[in-house]
Amino acid sequence: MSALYLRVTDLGVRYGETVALQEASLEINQGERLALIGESGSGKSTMAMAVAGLLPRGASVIGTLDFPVLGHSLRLGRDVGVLFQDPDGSLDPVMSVGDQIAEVAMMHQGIGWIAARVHAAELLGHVQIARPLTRLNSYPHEFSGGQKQRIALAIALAGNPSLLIADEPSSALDTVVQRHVVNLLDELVRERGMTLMFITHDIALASERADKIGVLYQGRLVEFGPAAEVLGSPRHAYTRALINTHISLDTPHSKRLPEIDKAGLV
Amino acid sequence: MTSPTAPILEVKNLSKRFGDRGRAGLFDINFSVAPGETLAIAGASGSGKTTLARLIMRLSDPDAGSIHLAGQDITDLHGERLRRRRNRFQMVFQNPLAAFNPRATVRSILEDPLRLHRLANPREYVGRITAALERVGLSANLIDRLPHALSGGQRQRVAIARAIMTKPDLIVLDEPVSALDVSVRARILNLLLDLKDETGVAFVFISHDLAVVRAFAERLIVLDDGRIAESGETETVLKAPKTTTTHALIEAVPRLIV
Repeated sequence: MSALYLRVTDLGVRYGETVALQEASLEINQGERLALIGESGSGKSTMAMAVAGLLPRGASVIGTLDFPVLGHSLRLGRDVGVLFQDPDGSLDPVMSVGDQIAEVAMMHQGIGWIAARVHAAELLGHVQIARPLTRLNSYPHEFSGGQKQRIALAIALAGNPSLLIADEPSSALDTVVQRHVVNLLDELVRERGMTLMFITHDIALASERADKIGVLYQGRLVEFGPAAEVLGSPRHAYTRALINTHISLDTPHSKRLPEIDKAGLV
Repeated sequence: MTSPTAPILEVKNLSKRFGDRGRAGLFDINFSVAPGETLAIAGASGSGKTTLARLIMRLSDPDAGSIHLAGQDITDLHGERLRRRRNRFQMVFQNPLAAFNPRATVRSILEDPLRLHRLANPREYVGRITAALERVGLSANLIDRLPHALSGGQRQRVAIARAIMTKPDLIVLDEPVSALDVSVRARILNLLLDLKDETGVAFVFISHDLAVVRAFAERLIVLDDGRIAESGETETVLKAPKTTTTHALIEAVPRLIV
């Protein structure tokens, strides 16, 4: 068995009077892929950002985060890379993509500028940007949405982190490009032995890609366990509803689609 | 005059060399939509879906070909004549926040079509707006809210309320549920299905998600690089896809493994 990477114990987050997350506990081993599923406002992003140490100022946090493998608290960029839904939010529009990747590599790997530029080209190649050396001096607007998300991934990887947190990294992309980005993410995480925490509202994507699944509903982690267990014998009504109302390629054309009945959930 | 079986939308030999603002071009596109029918247009980014939607909506001009709406040639309509015709065809966008004036309240967003098309006298506005809000499942209490103070699902309901205000024959839906939560998605699609049942409105449904397309649309056109790669009954196309484009779109849909 691989070593325990992260233990979250009774994590709670409040923004003023608003409780965003309460009593959330889970464990992930090194190299495992955890999917956090839930809708807007369920607390899934709050949970991931609490782990990354990226909660907004003014958020009050209780509970503990342990990283036994690291032996210290998590350092953003160095130990954890974060990938957001909208790559435009993480890319600097007036800085070349090569410089943006190299800057992170220099800061967190302690290497010089030239080595960092070489590393940036390598990373662009890893995220499958064609002719990476010639693209180092290109700016974000010269790339498509799917390419920009892959460049954001290269930046997240530039500090050589052991944990990658991806917050709906493919939701804004079309299904074909989404497939590409998710495959790439999967491949890189495996190759580098990274631990992955990804947030999605797509239970099918989680079922394909995660070793463990956590389901959040109204600020509570209502379900957590190995993916096969959570999907095969869900304990919470919301998880069951998500599975039963999933629109798949096998959903026939009909007058109405199945809806989640919120009134029936507690 | 149009007979009852005549198409509500007919697109013939439609071409656009270069799309607007760098969007994909289109080459010799032909299709029609019957009254009350839902036609899906699927394809990857850059396949020309949005360019086609904008041409149908007459938001941009084609280089060649024609567009007929309810038997009338609208290809060359401009200015006041186009504006007057707009009550017959409406559009719902993926991101309603970008489509709404951020400083316009729900009331003013829904008042616009009534005023522009002189559909009611000002004393009737509030009643008509309240009725439209109720029809799309929103409380009348939201009438003085600004768009940013609404949830994603509520905003999309307002966009649908605005689209149905003029009782159109056709609504072009450009990825109307892609940005929404899964649980909200089914509710919005069901609302659209109910409206279609009630009013006989036809839909052109732009989507890259073939699972949603199968559940929602009777017919499907797959675009690839500005050309129609494949078209037919949704069930038939998905059961026996003939092109690599359609295959790739089918493959890309995540499968729920239970």
